[in-house]
Amino acid sequence: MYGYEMTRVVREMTKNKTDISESALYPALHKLLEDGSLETTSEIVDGRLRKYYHLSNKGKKESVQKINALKVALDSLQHILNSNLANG
Amino acid sequence: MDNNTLSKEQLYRLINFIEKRGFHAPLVIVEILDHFACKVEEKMNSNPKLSLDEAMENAYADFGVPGFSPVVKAFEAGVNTKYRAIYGNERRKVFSNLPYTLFALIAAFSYYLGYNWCAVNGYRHIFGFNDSSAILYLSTLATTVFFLLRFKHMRKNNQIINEIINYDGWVFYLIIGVSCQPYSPANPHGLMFLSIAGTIVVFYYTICLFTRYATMKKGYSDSSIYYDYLKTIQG
Repeated sequence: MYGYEMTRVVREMTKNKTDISESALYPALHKLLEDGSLETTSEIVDGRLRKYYHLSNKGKKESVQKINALKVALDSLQHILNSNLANG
Repeated sequence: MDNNTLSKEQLYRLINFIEKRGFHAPLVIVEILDHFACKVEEKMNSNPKLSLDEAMENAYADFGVPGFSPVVKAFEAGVNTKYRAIYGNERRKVFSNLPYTLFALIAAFSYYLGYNWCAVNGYRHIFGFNDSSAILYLSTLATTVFFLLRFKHMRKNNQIINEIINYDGWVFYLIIGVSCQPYSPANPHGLMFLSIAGTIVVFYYTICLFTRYATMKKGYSDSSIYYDYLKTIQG
């Protein structure tokens, strides 16, 4: 996936509720590149040199762990919200 | 989405737009260009009445107040980290390569012999420094000029090459420091200390030169794709 595509996909998937700004996206992508979680390939598409980002093997393993951690955190948050709602 | 793809001439105008915002380095321009072009196309497709100039202004406004700066800063930080890691790997390779290490040892030992010989025989013809040190200092200047000519004249404004050329720059200053130390014949320990210190510096500097050359070749090869691409657009 290339940078612009990421912002577009997030926008479409969230029905325009979430917009990733370039100033947030690119520093995050470069941080992941530095960590070795992402790799890039470049090719010319529509007359432009386009950089595609993809997960490295390390990134694939880490993304599974982080998604699981996020699910646990969201479940906990949901639990707190539900119990607060139940108690008024 | 893809019903309006920017032509080569339009991309050329986008490049001019980016340059007018103060970003002239080819690597940076190419890093921004695709994302910016996608945004411009999106604007033009959603409102076909927009001119290219208006679409560029609207797309640029979407980058927010800092404009392209966060993208550029992230890119430059990434480049810096990547090539420092490559430099470290190359240095390890040079250290473990027998011909390179042998060459560095011979250079260092030659300096050691030359320094002692010049000190004992009073050879201080250049600014009053030990001639061996002065030659070493001039050699470091010559190698820096060599690197600049070897890589920079071919790829102007290449921040990868410009950064690598400064790696391990402290060794250069150490050489100046060692070269400038006065030697007193009354103190044989001073001679011993200066010649050994200089020898270590020469050994490490020679290793650095090989490392820098290998890293710059890699950086030059990596950045070629950007330059070749821009050449096709700019003609």
